[in-house]
Amino acid sequence: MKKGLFILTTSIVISLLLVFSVIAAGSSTAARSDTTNTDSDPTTNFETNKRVNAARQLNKAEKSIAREACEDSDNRRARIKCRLDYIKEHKEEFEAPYSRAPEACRKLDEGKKGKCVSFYKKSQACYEKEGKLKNQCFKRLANFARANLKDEADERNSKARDYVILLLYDIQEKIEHAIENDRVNSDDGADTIDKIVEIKQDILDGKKKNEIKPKMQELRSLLKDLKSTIDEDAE
Amino acid sequence: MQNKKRSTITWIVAVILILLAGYFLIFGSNDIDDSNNYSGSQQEEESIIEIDESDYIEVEKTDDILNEIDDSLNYFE
Repeated sequence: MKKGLFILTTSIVISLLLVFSVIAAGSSTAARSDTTNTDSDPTTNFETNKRVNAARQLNKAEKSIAREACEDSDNRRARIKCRLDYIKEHKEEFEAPYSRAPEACRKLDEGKKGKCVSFYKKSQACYEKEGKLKNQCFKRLANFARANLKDEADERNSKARDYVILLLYDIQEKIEHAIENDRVNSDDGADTIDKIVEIKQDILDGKKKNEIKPKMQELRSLLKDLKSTIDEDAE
Repeated sequence: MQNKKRSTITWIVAVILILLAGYFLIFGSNDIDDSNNYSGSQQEEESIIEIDESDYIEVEKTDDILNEIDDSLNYFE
């Protein structure tokens, strides 16, 4: 009887250890996928990793101060320009301070702002995809039930608005990437992204298409000289 | 001897059941996480899964994106 109890206890402990080790492995993968830092080297030893991490922490703190400084200006275009200069200088994506909402969400009331920030965060996964998969990701996020907007049975207005916001973010990403690779200067980039943000704000504010279409024309003009450069990655 | 054999089988079954419970706990929770990524209704989620990937379009070039935006603007109210 005692032997049986021992086997049972041992079996349960081993099983639980197995289960939790799988859970732990899964959660560590999730954490890795959240970070944009891909320069970790699994072959380096623990001490080296500690030193590298310490240097990286210091660097991160300095970078964090530089990013926060971009919030000092009351002018939206100046803030955008500051972030683009950061991207150009540090050759990395601008990781916004945690306390700050994306520009397009800032003027919304608290309830809408929360949804806007959440939508922005969810959308980040789509920009890691390409081609049809990216388009599918956008449409899923915009709650499409079909592959085309014209086939949607209901809520076309809100679905179209969400979809356009995602497409505008896509252009913004392309510009930022071109700036990171020194193919576009930060002044041209700031003018264009400022216009993109303005259009996104209008869409989120529920403005009608007649108000948005002229701004889209302005965006087309701004992109006229940039598009061949920012499309280099898509070729 | 018979009792001992029966007892061993019982423990083996118990271990398998615990492992199975753990497996479903892990993969079951992943499914919930995935479904939370998108805010669509369950019906929409199911119907969208049936859509073939080839039905989607490739919108990578800036001109294509701008045209897609213009088309979508027509659905704004």
